[in-house]
Amino acid sequence: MNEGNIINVNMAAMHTARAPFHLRTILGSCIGVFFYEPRMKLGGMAHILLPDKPQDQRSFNAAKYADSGVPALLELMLSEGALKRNLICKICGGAKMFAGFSANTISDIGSRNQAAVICALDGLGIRTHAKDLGGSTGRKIVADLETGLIKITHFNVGEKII
Amino acid sequence: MAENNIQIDEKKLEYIRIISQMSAESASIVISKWLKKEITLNVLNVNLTTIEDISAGMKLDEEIVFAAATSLNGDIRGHFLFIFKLEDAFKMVDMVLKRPIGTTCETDEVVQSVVLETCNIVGSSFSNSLVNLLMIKLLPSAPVVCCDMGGAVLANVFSEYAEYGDNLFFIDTEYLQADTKISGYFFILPTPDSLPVMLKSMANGIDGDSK
Repeated sequence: MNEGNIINVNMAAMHTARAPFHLRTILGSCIGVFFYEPRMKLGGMAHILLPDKPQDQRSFNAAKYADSGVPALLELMLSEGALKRNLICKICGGAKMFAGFSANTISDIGSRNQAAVICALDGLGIRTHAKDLGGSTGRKIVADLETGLIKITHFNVGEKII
Repeated sequence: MAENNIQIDEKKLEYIRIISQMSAESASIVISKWLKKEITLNVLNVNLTTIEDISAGMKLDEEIVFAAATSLNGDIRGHFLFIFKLEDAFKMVDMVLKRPIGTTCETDEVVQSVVLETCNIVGSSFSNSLVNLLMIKLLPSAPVVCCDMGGAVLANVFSEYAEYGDNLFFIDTEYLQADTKISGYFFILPTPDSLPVMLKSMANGIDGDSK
């Protein structure tokens, strides 16, 4: 893999790209939502930080929240020519890393994120083809836009491909 | 921009920086005793920034780090968060155990213990100092630790604060020692509703009417 071909998706950001590029992100309790259109070798990735968009804000970053980020990523893919029926969807992340943390703040946001992303995908009628969720370790995910496969690296656990 | 975002003017940020530096000085004395070397804890920056900018600006990414966090209760709520790169955590263990630097090179329970204890000692000292300077009530909890990719740890912690709004307030620091440099991040993360309390107490303290 050529390092120059890797596009980093930061916290609360989303990107689309085509082969030969790779989309990469690091996940803790966040969820990485990946859409792939095999016909065009076009991929889109959103780094979702939180479950629900704020109710009291007029402007906000859509990619940050599950309920706004998933539709926004779909919209972005469609605007680049993807067909919804061709989309392959994969989701990763949602770990609980600080076990034993005081519940009033660092709560189990990973599980809430998982539920919110699954709910948002259901709402759009998108089936999830593969997922790697939960656990207690962070993940590095790199999506190869040539094949649509995601390589997931867990610290101290190893690698897997979905 | 969003209405519920934190706003602090330059003067208040400077207040916070001064108080933090004073607390860091007393924490330096304690950490020097603990690591058996003269160590200075310096306040580098008092930041008010967006989550997106932190993610882009911090170069931890997939580097493996030790992170320890203490939750704060009382008049100010929030967290103290310590982050050490593996090599720095190893150096700390060697200092505490009076071994030549470079002896420790694997992550185990001893390393975890030293990181936890450092967080405990520095965090308690820092909060004691804040309590004395600001005349507030502050109760730090026992710390918890995790060892994982830096980017993942930060995303995990910051996501909790992101629920309050787009801006995140934090103070970061570094540790300096004469012949061996240990650097680490020490974040003080107050919840947005605790900030006015902190600022009010600081203003009283600096105006000199508290004593």
